[in-house]
Amino acid sequence: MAAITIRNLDKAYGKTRVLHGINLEIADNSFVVFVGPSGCGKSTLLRTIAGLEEKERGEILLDGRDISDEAPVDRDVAMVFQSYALYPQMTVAENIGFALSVAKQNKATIGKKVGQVAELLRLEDYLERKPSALSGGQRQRVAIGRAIVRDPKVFLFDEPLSNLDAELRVEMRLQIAQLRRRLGATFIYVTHDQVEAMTLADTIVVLRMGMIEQVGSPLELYHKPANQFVAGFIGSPKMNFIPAAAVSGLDLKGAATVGVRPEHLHIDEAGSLKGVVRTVEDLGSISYAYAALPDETLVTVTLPPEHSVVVDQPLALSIVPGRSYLFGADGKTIG
Amino acid sequence: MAKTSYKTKAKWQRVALLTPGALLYGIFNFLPLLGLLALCLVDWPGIGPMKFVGLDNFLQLFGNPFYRDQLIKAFGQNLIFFAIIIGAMLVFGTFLALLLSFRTWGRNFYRSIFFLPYPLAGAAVAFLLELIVRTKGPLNVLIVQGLHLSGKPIGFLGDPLLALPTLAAFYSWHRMSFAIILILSAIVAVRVHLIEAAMLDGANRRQTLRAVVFPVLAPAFILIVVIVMVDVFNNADYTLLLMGPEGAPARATDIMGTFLFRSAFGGAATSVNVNFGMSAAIGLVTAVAILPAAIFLALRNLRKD
Amino acid sequence: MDKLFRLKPLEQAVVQLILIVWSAIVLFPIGIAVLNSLKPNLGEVYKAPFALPSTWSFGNYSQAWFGAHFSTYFLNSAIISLSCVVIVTVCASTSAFVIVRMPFRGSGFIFGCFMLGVVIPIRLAMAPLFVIVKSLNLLDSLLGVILVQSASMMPVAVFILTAFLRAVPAELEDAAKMDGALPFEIYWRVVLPLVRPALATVALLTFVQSWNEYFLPLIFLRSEQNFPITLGMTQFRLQFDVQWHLMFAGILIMLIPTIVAFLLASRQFIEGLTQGGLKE
Ligand SMILES: Nc1ncnc2c1ncn2[C@@H]1O[C@H](COP(=O)(O)OP(=O)(O)OP(=O)(O)O)[C@@H](O)[C@H]1O
Ligand SMILES: [Mg+2]
Repeated sequence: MAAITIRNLDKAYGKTRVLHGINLEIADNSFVVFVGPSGCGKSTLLRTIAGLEEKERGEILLDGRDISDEAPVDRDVAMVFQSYALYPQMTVAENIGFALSVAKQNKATIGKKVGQVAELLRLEDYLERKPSALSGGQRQRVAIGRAIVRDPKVFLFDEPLSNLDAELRVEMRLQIAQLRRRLGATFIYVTHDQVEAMTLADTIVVLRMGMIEQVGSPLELYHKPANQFVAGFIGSPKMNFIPAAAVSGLDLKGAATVGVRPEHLHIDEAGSLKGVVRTVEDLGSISYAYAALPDETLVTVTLPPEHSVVVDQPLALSIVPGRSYLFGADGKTIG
Repeated sequence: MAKTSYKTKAKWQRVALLTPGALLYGIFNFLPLLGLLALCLVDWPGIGPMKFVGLDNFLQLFGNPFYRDQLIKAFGQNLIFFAIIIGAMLVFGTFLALLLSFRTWGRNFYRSIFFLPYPLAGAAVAFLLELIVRTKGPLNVLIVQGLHLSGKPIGFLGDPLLALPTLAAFYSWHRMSFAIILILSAIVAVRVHLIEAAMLDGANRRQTLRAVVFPVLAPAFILIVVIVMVDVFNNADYTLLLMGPEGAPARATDIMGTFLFRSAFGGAATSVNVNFGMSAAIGLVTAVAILPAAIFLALRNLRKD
Repeated sequence: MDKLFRLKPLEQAVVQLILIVWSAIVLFPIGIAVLNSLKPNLGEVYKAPFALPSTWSFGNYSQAWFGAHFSTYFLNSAIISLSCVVIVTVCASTSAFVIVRMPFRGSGFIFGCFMLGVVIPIRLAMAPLFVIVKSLNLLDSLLGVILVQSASMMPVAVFILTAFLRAVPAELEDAAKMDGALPFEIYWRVVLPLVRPALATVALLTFVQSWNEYFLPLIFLRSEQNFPITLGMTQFRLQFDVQWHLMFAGILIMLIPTIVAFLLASRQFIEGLTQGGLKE
């Protein structure tokens, strides 16, 4: 059991408010991903849950127990840092066993637990090495091992894969997903990477300027964004935002902006959106065209691999019916 | 309580970690520095009751000819002492550092030799060099018999005109490597970034040295000046060791450090004019005199963080 | 840039000549001391200071050692400087650790107080310092001198160590906190092993400076059996002033520990010099 409830959480560094009244329910055994632009407070929220930062106001309940005033070690949470934060002077085994030796467990117990963790993470061959003699992926696994050995109810990850190269990142992502199935604990994960968020998460939490914009499953956020910010943030490439005045043939319901994802714009001689192609990017399996509408709004269009779009030529587009989003002047989704 | 919480333990351990150092420094260094402000207001020969005299010590120091003349002489001679040392350090230091920065054969070996005097004790250096420059000493043997530079031995430390410069020479001999090392590291640091650019622009060696190397030496120079200044205005070990607290001959080597010492502990066993209040006042005046340099140093250090 | 720093043969010769001249100036007094400390009598020192001794009299060293209470002085110096090394490295590193890593209201102020000690030399405050040491009944005791000398070296040590500690990544400590380590454990097991080079520098500077300190013992010690070697040298000089060969031998004995320390760790020494600035 490890359900987390956060109520009215506020946090400030000196005079700058970083978190504003955060309210969040995290179900037992779920995988929650925090996303949001840089500086929006993801790390701060995570560190406040960990106990590395003092909250200003509010409660953090873990299975109904308020942990927000407890020391990090008493909270049943473990954290994996972006820089791994391995102790350079200790071997891998000592790194993994550090928490146990601090807790004054006896040598045999420590050795046994470290061995189990190393087996789980395939680190048996490296136990006597120093972190400096490991590759990035191995260091990452040691960092995870250090969290696992404490047998916490909640794992916190702050951009754990951002220091790895693309290929390793995919591999580690799969390992984390696998690990999660094995461990049966609650995971809270911060990332910048859309793919990581969409693939790993049960629930995505979108943050902006210290406030929660929307909470939902990946597909919920993709299909039913609560507002223009979430719509623009989830999905890659980004959703197109077209001033309502430039769009015809839709029931606008008083919207100020119309949002259309690039994959929902089709080339159509009879289409109501007319633009000029500015750039074409061919990625092989897919291509993108960037077209300027008469009012100079740049829209992105997904093209099939075989297309005949040419730069500087006019392009007529239509919106796939039912796939447009309407946003009011305040950015809220209409209807 | 059966189980003290982590937070309580952490708080106490923080106190326990900070306290020894803070107490040690506080009692034996910081408190005395603050104590200057209080002690300078009393007249107290070290035993017996203290007498509160307000600013009288300062009035005496600047008004009473007995103290004023000593102050002026000590301060003036201290300036001369400083000027000789800093001149020698900057001129020779830059010159030698520059030579060592070239691809000179054995430059690491030379560097080690040049650094040799630095860790030696001031007391040992003072006694050693004093033996060397005595009238019957090796240096005079060299000058008179070896090089025939002079008909008769030179009394380096006995001559009122020569004594102070000789002590300055001792100091420079002892501390020269400090200047060399700082200037050398400045040159080495600059060479990576700027010199390549200058060479690409087609400057020749002399132009490069003038336009690129010397400007970046300025910070090293300032650092040396400031540190040596703070040091020579409070440290009078050579004079105390060799010339005594009276700055023999005839106070020709008296500087602030000896004056300060004399005012608290007396120049000779028979001294009558000892006054800890006066000593504190002189210390305070000296501190104020070197404070701009000291503050500059502190700001520089803090900025570096 | 290589072109700039490469020397033509003639230039090389001139540079070598100048460097040799300066080496001679540096080595002259030390060489003279070594040479003449081995001469059998004063006459040879006077007549031919640059000549080799007629008989190599290593006995001068033992005569110097036993002649004045050299062994006592030497032992006192060793006690003082080793105690200072232990006290300063421990106290400065713990204080710096708290200031840098566990800041609280007022820790900035405490750091400022330490920095005051970096800029204002304690000698200027010798009168108030004397009053304090006297009122604690520590005059003329090794303990008093040890405490005063340690305190005088605290500011520079704290300064060097805070600079190093700031460079230790904060996430390491966060990780240790998550693992449940208390400040003692973080200090001892996580942070201290990472700043060992700085600790070595501090220890070395402290050793050399406290071994060489003359002024503070001069003020606080009265009885000869407490004298460190710097003060002992003055006593020695009173006794052997005219016996130059013994003077040279005594001076060289006094230099041995610092020269050894320097040879063992010249790199740290030079680094410490450029970091901490000159404070002896
Ligand atoms: N120790 C601190 N003191 C003052 N302000 C801080 C501190 N740490 C973070 N902040 C501020 O709090 C805000 C949130 O920071 P946080 O690190 O939580 O952002 P983030 O969402 O994790 O960003 P990123 O994606 O770049 O990691 C930022 O504006 C940052 O400048
Ligand atoms: Mg972050």
